Amino acid sequence: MTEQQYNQCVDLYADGLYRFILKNLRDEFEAGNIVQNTFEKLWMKVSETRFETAKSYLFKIAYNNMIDVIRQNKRYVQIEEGFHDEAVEMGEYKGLKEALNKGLERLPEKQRTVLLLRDYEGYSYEEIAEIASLSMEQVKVYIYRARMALKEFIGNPEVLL
Amino acid sequence: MKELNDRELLLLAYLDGDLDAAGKQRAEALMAEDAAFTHEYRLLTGTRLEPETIIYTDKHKLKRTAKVNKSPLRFVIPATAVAACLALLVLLYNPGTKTGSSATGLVTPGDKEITYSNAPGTKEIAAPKEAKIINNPAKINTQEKHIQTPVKTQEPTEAETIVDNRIEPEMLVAKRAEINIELPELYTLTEPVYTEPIIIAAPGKKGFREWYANAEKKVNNFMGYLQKPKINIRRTGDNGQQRLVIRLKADKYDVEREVLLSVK
Repeated sequence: MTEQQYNQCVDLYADGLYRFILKNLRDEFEAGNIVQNTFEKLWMKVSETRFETAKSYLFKIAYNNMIDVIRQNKRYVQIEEGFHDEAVEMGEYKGLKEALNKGLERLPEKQRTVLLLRDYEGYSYEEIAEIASLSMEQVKVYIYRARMALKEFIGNPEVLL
Repeated sequence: MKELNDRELLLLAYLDGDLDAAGKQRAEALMAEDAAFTHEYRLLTGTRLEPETIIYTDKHKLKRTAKVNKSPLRFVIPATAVAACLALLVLLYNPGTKTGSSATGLVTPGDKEITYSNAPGTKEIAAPKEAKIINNPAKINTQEKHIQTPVKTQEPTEAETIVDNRIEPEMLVAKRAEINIELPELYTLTEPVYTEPIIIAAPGKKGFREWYANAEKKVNNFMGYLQKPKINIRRTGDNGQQRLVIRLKADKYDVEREVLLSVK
């Protein structure tokens, strides 16, 4: 990859990468930090990385970095159990989008990650498996569970629409 | 982890648009005959996330430029150096130049006939018949000295060198560098619990991530009296001027410092 292509990667993927981390960590400072480190690593390997695979490479690096941050801070509690009990009355939220965002925040980290990669970035199951170091089956299970959990959370979306 | 059954897999793949024509037909057939499946599908369509537009505003900090000398002389001097090298090669590989007799008619004492060759492997040719034997060592020496004078090649100057602002950790490892981080302003925030500058080893063989973690830990320790400090450390700089940009956020403080890296 050339220097020009590297800079093109910044233009093309920095926003998506930042959004992906921000949605997971909900911390602008930390998300910015990870984006910087991720592109720093890409630059170090710029001659070995192909432009076509740069996006996946960036997301993989950022994901691993994010996991490190989560483990380091130990501030994200897995809330898989009891999630359904926390379903909130829909009257709290103005619309489906806001309710989904709240639900997304409450998802366990892995479920949230795979769902964001799928719906926001449009990655295939196979690509998500590669980025998150999971099997295809695990990716499907996590996405399915995430969708079911969101469904439970938002209740009946038709009420909101 | 409990795997998904066929029905769940079909539902998920249909929802994600991940089915081929046959699979899609199967899902639609199931929806036509199974109200529960249809109901589930309709509920799950509401869980599809719409991407939000979030802009990362510091893109300019991520971009890189390799500084290339654009002086009009940038081709002239290297070309001169190449020409000089070629001339040297011709002289070295041409034994005929040892005496230069063909041009001057000078031969070494005692030689009746001198053979010439223009390059290794070329056919030898006889010396010109008119070559005269002379006994003037001074002249011979002068001639030899002249020929053997080494041709000095032009070293590229700093201005001609392509400067790449990448910072390779290995470069620092080789020099076993240490990086001083001093945050003088922060001393004034509270009692100066630390009076010594923090020394953070440069990136080692284990890579930048570990180095970064160590750096962060040390700064964290340093900042221990503040509540949940967050540190953003990044390296920047070019042409040997490497800097560490440290941003600390804690409580009401948000301080950014640029520290010039010193290699010890």
